[in-house]
Amino acid sequence: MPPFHLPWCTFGSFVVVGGSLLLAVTWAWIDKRRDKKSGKRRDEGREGSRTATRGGEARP
Amino acid sequence: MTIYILVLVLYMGVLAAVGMVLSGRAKSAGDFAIGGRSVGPWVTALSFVAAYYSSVVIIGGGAFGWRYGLATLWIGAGNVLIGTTLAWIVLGRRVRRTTESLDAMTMPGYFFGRYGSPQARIFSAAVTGLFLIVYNVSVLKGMANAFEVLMDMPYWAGVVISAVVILFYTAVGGYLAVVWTSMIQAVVMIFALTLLSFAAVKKVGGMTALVDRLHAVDPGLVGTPGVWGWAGLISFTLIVSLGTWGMPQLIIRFYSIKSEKMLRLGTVIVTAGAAIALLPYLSGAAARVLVPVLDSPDQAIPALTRLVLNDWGGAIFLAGVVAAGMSTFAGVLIIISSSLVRDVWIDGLGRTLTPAAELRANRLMSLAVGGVSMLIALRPPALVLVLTAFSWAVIASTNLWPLLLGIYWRRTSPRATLASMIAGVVVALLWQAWPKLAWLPPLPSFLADVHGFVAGTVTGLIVIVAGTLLGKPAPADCVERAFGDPHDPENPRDH
Repeated sequence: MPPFHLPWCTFGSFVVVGGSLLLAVTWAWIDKRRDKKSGKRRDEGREGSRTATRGGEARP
Repeated sequence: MTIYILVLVLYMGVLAAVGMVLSGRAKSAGDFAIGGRSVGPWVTALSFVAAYYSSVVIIGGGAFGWRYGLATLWIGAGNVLIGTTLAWIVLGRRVRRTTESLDAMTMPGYFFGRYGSPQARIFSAAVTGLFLIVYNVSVLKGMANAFEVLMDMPYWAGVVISAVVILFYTAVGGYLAVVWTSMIQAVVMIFALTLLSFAAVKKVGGMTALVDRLHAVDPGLVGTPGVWGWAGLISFTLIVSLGTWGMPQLIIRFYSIKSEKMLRLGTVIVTAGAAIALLPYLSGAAARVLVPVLDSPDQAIPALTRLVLNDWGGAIFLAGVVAAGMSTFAGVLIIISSSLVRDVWIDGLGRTLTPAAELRANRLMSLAVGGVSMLIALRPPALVLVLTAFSWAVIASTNLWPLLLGIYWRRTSPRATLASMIAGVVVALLWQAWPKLAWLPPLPSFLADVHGFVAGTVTGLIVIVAGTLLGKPAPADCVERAFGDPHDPENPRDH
């Protein structure tokens, strides 16, 4: 029996609203992780170029 | 009656005070139009909810719920998923980044910067300005009708009181006053709608009893698509859900949020807040059981309020309806006034204004536009009411694809953009007018219930894609500026 005796096709509207909130939270989490990873890659890139520079300076 | 007056005076006093407090922070046109891109996620998200759901949604949504039953819950679901969550995810970050790169403060301004097309700017500004004024008249009318029904206040008094308070805090405080008052109004709306829905469902005997009693009246009031049918339900849901993607007063929230990463929290908050979209339709359906005989479905929510709420509850609910209307009206006012000053007067006609003069012009223009809306609302001509029915459709048909494709597809052609805007508007208007044009054959029955918005946006999409594939992209410097990093010192942002 569907909740509240609602037909499933009508109850689906509540499911969509709940799913939207889940989607929003999931997206926010994925986006935060992506930002952290791209931040790490930027930092590693800068570290790599600083190392190359030091290596370059060491050469005559 | 005293309680109603007390609650409303207190509520409007708070709004006016917020306007006064924030008036000192509007020091430039950028502050006036988009709050200097300094708004946090909570204010951005809740003001989006308040601007999205106007008094038209509360009263009109209740009318739909009364007339068509629980299938209308899908309209609310569409508002949440498509109109809110997906809009924030798909549009938010890119609009924020692109408009900062282009230093755009308005949607027409974005079109000019992105495509290098003054024609697209002027067309978008003209269509949006005209139809937003029409929309604003209907919002004022809705608020005045609510005062009339719930407080026996004369219609003209409701129009004047609402307009004066809004014009005060908007002209004085600009965008920051609008978003902060909208945030307060969102809280009032959420509380008021929850109160009414809870009281109504309790009066019926609970949610299961509501479904059973509606089923006894007509099984079509419980099922989907029910008495409305698929064409009507889907096309109306699309107008008020996908339509937001082209509505400047909502998109501007993405321009003004403090940073891209704040969009993450904002998306969660706005989705939770937007869930109140279900409540007007649910309340309307409850009204069908509790107040089965009405002169007009528009009376469903006011009649339900009188039946299930006491004076305090009724006053709070009226404050919620007024809150919904005011937040929408104020948000639209900022859009129209800043667009008229920036896009038409300065950029369109080539006039020069000092920063102080531009700020003053924005304030005066918001007073002028609001005043015009108020005067029309005092005695709205029949045409205005007709045009209101498809103002969203026309505005969305104009702006949706040029914005969406503009932020994702580098190749999008300026000429195709303009052609899409024109085609979308013409088809949307023609489709809506079709039944009244005797010289045209009637539409087939499966198309007759499809709203002009669907026809307009489908046409606009075909035109912009085909035109882009056949035409040339925007000038390279426009594209590079639009897709560049706004924080990169080498980003060529100077125009």
